[in-house]
Amino acid sequence: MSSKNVNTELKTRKLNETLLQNLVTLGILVLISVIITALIPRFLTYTNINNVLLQISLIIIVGSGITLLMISGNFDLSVGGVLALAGVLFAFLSRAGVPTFFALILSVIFGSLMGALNGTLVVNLKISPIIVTLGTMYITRGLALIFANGSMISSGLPGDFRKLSNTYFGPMSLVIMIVIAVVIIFIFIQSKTNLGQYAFFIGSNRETARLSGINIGRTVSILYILVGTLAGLSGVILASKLGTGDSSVGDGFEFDVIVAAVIGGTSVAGGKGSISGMVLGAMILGVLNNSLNLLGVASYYQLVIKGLVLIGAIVLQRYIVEKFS
Amino acid sequence: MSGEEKKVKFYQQAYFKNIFILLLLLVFVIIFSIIAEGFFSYNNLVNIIRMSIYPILTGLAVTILMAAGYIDLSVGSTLALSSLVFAMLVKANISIFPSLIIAVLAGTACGFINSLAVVRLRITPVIATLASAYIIRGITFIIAGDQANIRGLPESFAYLGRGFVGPVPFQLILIVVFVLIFYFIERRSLLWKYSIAIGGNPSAAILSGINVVGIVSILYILTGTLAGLSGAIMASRLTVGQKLIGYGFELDVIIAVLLGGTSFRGGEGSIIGTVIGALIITILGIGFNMAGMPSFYQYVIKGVLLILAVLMDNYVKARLRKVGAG
Amino acid sequence: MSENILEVRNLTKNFPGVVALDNINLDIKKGVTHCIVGENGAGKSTFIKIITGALSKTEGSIIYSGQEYNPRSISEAMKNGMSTLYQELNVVEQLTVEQNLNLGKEKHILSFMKKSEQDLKAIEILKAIEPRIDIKQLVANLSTAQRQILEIARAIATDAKVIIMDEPTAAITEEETKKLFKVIENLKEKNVTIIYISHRLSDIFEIGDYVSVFRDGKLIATKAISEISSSLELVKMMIGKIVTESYIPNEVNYNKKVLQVKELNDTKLKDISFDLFEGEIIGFYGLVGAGKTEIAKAIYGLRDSKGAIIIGDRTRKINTPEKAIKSGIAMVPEERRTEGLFTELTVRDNIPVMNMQKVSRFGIRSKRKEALIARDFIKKLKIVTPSEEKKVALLSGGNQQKVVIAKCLNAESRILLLDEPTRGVDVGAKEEIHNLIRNLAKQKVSVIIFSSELQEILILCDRIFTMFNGSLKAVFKNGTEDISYKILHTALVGES
Repeated sequence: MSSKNVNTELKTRKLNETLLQNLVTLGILVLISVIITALIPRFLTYTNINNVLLQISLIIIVGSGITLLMISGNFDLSVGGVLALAGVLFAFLSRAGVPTFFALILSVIFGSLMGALNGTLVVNLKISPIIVTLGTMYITRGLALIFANGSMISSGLPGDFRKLSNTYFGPMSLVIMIVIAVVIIFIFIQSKTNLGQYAFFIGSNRETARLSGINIGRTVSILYILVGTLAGLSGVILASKLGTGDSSVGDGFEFDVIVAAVIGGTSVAGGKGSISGMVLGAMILGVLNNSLNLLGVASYYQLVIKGLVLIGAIVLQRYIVEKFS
Repeated sequence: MSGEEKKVKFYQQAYFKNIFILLLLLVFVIIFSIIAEGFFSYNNLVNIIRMSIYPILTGLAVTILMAAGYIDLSVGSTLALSSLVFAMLVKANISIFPSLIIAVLAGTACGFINSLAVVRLRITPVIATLASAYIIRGITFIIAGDQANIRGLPESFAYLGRGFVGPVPFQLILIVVFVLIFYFIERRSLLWKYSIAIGGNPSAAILSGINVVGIVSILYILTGTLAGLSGAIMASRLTVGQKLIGYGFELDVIIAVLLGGTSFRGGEGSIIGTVIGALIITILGIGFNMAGMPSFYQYVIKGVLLILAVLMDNYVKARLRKVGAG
Repeated sequence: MSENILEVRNLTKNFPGVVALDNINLDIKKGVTHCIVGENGAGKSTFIKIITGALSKTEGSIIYSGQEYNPRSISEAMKNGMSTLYQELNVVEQLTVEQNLNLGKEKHILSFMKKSEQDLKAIEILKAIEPRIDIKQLVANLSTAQRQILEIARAIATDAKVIIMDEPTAAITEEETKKLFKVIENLKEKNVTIIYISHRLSDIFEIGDYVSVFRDGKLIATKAISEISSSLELVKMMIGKIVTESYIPNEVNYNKKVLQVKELNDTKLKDISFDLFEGEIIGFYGLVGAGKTEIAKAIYGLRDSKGAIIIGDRTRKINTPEKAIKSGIAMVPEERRTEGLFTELTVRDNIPVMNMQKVSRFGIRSKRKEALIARDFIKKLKIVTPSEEKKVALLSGGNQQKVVIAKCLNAESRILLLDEPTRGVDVGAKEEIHNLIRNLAKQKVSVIIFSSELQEILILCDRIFTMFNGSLKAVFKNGTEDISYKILHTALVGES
């Protein structure tokens, strides 16, 4: 069999399952968008769409890492805290005179370190990911509050503090470019690297992975570090946009990220998932939030809806899986 | 019985763990008495009792829930919901007792939602209760409308959380009554025994004919109910109904339960341990406040404490495996 | 009124590609000990699973106490008076012995247990078998043997009409066994029927009234114990005709030792030492629980054992499968579904996992290479699948096993461990796998087979080791004489 044949057959077969799932998700997205545009034409304006995209950009960045982590069967509830802390650190360091660029890098690295901490506690000390990341969620949130003295660091910041979020290349903002880059990189990791494949192996059948010689600890640690790094990156982006290091941001962020991943087809139990799906899921979430805002629905209804959507997505996913086996 | 076997028995009994955390409690009390002025005063002790009642009551139910191997991250939201409901009903001129009942039932309803999500829809407890936490918090906000607080409540409203029976705070009586009830449950009830079985060896539990679905449902409903009661008491003590309370409450409860010796993976639990753990958490909070440490420092300490509690539990278990039979 | 408690007629059970039970006809009388024997894979456990409601039958009928019987669940069978003593212990460690004994059957008022002694019956039975167990002790403190006795007492106390015991004496001492047998005698006096599954022929002759021999999914014969002259006759029925002519000696390079195992010791294994030569196939044979799988796991880095493993000329410290693979060892595990395969992933995903370097460069995969390798193995091993993109869960047992083997072959190791390589595999695939193993030896791969199928071991292996109770009892060189009965003897009885 010639390798050209292998290529084409491969492409058609592998694309089928994920493509199908993503088409369904896309369909839901389109449906909601159409309904909303019919109700409120204001939805389909450039400024509004831009708004939505910016809002979900952070979810997509962190979601890329979380999707891989969930595929391997693990969790990270601390991303919201890391987000806040990285932003606060960024402001703190900048105010203390560290050149903005270095402050940025250091804050992102700090996110990586938090990820490494999570990884060590989960892998080496063998503590349940739920407990570990619940604990680090509070630790990072607490540290953010401490460094920001209970609220936020907004004064004494250098002029180029907001540079990151204000940079545009033509009509395209740097932030959007970062988002796209992250998504491309992580889709690449997921489908074209050993690391991504190991995540699928570990999440699909941990014991088989162990017996097949996969170094589970190393893979999971790397995934946690990646998530932490992305959370740190998101934190500095947000701080840059807001112009302050706000210790109260990111409340519920971990939940949004999980919802986006699950809507996109990532299974909570591991072994299944896709980043492209998560992106679509984040878009659905964003469009949903935006629609409710435009309709004048109070923000707290969104909490209820988000929770119901998560539960609904999980049940629907399971139903589809059972139907197709 | 050889000496080694005796040692194993000793470790495994809850007594060992309970004595350890009791000592820990005493250490904290002593430290805070030294560094915080007025810590060991009568007023403060009453305060401690009043503030520990929430993690104690909720923790009693969560102890059994975690012994069965399940978790509930929504108790903070339930707390807020019931506190708001209680205040709103009383403000609407409904008498105290029926309002209280309804507020507690609101908590029961939350527990029921959780039981549906976990047991009927078979969603992982972490995700399910995370989702319900948001849903319940959202419902709380919706009910509250634009008001953040509900004030202007009658005197009688405050009795639950601040009243006395003679020289003794009413809350202490509540604590004692509930702890006794749950201690009795721990020693004698099928609910406790079956929960341990479910957490220890789920397939053995099923084969023995235990109705796992029924038991776990009851546990979630019980947790919701007690969280509801705690919320009503909190509203009463603060004499205001708030929609913004309860953040981080689930963390307090989980830490209290884990410190008390209940295993996160299930199969073990201790009511007395949870009470001691809840006291430790409460004292930490109050003590740090009095020592002038801002409340947000406590987030860090609690997060660390949570991880340490589990590490300690793992360590004890690992030691047991080395000593014990196999 | 029939004196049979169970009458089985034309019972058949099919799985995709395998006939597990083929037209079983058998009567079990009331109040006797009816033994069931046969090698692993002979159909014993399938039969028991159907009677106890864990599996459904494909064809045939079962009449239990004179009524049509078709249990749809284990609890339904239990309610009908059928109680099973499982091999996997279903005890709750965190509860006491007493609490385990009455689990699910406590006397209570409004779900609060009464203070009086609960369920005296189970406790009495336990005391009869082993009075030294303190019922107030936590089960976590009991040894495996003691836990098994606890299980036995619990099964007996359920007022069952039929008690099924699956290898009950595998982990208990002789003294405890004697006490168990006394209890069984008592039960028979009360007209309780015991179905006793065991490999221990001594047990069967001591306690059994009747014995049914299963082989290859068929019932060979049911006889009264009194009619059987010797254990040899029973053994002949169990293994049938052993075609030793199919054994072809492999070209072994006796100058080159690829593996030396010296004094392997752990909680189960006692002083295991042996060598493996290049191009050789050796086999480990023994009863359930004799220690075969433990040796495989120890070599592969899955057990906490002491002793030396020398590969080539260097002692290796192997404490994870990753290190084992790096040292040139690959293992096909016992349970393919839970240990050998990623069932939700495709054939193409599964095969390269033990050697990802072959299909990737700098950590970047080439799905094209993966597919090529998968197709290559599909052809070489004759794996029946529409394509390499098929989910492994959808393949038949034999083909799944071939995928696991392909996985290990892809690792290009010089030493291959095979744990029950053809369990649950249809006859055609079995033969193909056997040929494959022989070819591997020709290619100078050294193979260790761990199997409870004597036929398989005798067809393939140059040397055969018998295991009993964690020790190596004997080693036989294949091909010179008819050693099948000698092997069985040492495996079943423990002496050479």
